[in-house]
Amino acid sequence: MQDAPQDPARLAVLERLRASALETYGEERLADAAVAFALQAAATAVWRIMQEPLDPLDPEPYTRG
Amino acid sequence: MAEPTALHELTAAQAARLVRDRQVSPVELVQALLARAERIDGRVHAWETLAADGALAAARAAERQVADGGRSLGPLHGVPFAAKDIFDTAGLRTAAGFEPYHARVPAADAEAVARLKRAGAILLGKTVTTQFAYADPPRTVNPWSADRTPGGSSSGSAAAVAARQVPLALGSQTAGSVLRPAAYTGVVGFKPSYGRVSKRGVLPFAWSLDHVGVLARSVEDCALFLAATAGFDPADPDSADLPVPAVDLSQPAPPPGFGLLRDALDRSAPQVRDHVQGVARRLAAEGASVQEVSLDDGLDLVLAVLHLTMQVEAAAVHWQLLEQFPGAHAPRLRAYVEVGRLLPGALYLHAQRLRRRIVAGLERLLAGVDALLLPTAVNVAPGPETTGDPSLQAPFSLAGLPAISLPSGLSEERLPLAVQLVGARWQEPRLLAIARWVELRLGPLPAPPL
Repeated sequence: MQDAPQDPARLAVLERLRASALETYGEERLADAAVAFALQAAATAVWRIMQEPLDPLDPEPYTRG
Repeated sequence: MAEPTALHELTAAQAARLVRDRQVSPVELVQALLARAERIDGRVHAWETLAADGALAAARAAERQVADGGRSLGPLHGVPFAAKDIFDTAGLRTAAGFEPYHARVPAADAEAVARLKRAGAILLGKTVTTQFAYADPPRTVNPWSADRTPGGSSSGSAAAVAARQVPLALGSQTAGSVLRPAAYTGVVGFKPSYGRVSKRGVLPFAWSLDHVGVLARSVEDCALFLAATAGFDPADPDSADLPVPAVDLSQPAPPPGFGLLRDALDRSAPQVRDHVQGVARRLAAEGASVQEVSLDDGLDLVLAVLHLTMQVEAAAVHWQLLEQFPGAHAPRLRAYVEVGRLLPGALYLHAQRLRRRIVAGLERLLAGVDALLLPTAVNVAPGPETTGDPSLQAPFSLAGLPAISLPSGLSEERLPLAVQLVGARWQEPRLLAIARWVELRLGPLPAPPL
């Protein structure tokens, strides 16, 4: 995905992911550049997907058609 | 006999014809390619393992079969091929760039390898992959320029084919790992529809996205690959139980109707955008119809769904290995898996519902044209610190649609440029016929300056 936007909702997602990473893997891993990059990319994907609500009555994901 | 110095230049189809006609000996062919690897692979680093003894033994057996009258020779009889080092190969190490697997020697071939062998092809060796086919840069060098990546993750397969070390190489694509390396190295890259070629015996990265594909130097070679490998495999739960229609490239195809994908042009560097628009004009001048089309869902959403799907599935594949072999994963893969484990399941399923909508939109687009036309990659090959940007290949991995990359010219820096064609699901014969039509009009690239 292109430039990570500074949208507050995306930054909130990033903060939640960072907190989860800190709790799970500790400070040393959180400081790793590859982890920081992966968190940024994941936050963008999560944020973008969360902007797309779906009707609960839409078909379940694995039916064809 | 053909000139020995030209043997390494043969495409798979040319080599198969010459072997069948007794114009070329499979042993000479294998020896020529081994000699070429010896001569130039110190600069390219395409090979993980060369199986010289096994390849020569298979070539001698193939030669005997030809001498015995050549009845029931396979369509790839005597033709050497390579397999990315995530494809299991019986008796030959398959390590996926993962040190704990340095002594992992499978007992059986991956199904795609086995089918190529049954078609008469000879396994020359294993090519370099990025670790577990993710994005940590490989040691392989782009044959066009030592300071450029060959792309990944099928890095060695693309570089070996481009450098004329082997005519045909198996690759795999989860986001863009067949077509992007093909584009960066100036070769043809093809991935059939998801489910068309068995994944059994291929180390997984993300199950619902992983495709088997091929790197080659002609569309005809991709057709040979498809004929040899496609078809139902009951041992692969994702394999499609469908007939595989024959590919016939001998008859000229009528000029196709293309949908030029605007989202992809907007995403590309100016030199790539201008080039692909120029290609579209050339094809239109040859009789093709070209109309601009756009994705129903924007490219950003498509890529978000792809990335979330891939990251969660990769975490599910790898989290146990991460705990079993601490410190053995490459830095980017380790971080990717660690973060993937933090993503909630409900979001993954939401992404799969969006994926269904995205696929339906792409299928509607394809119902109005013969194929989508777009750049394969957003720019020419970047530096070796990356394997490149998968943005323009990934949508069709997400959707499981067949796609092919054709070399289409050289940039001002003399790096390969490429166009991508995408067809409707299960319509590989039609896509390959269209690709052949385009290939004939674009002409070949020269060999890289090795």
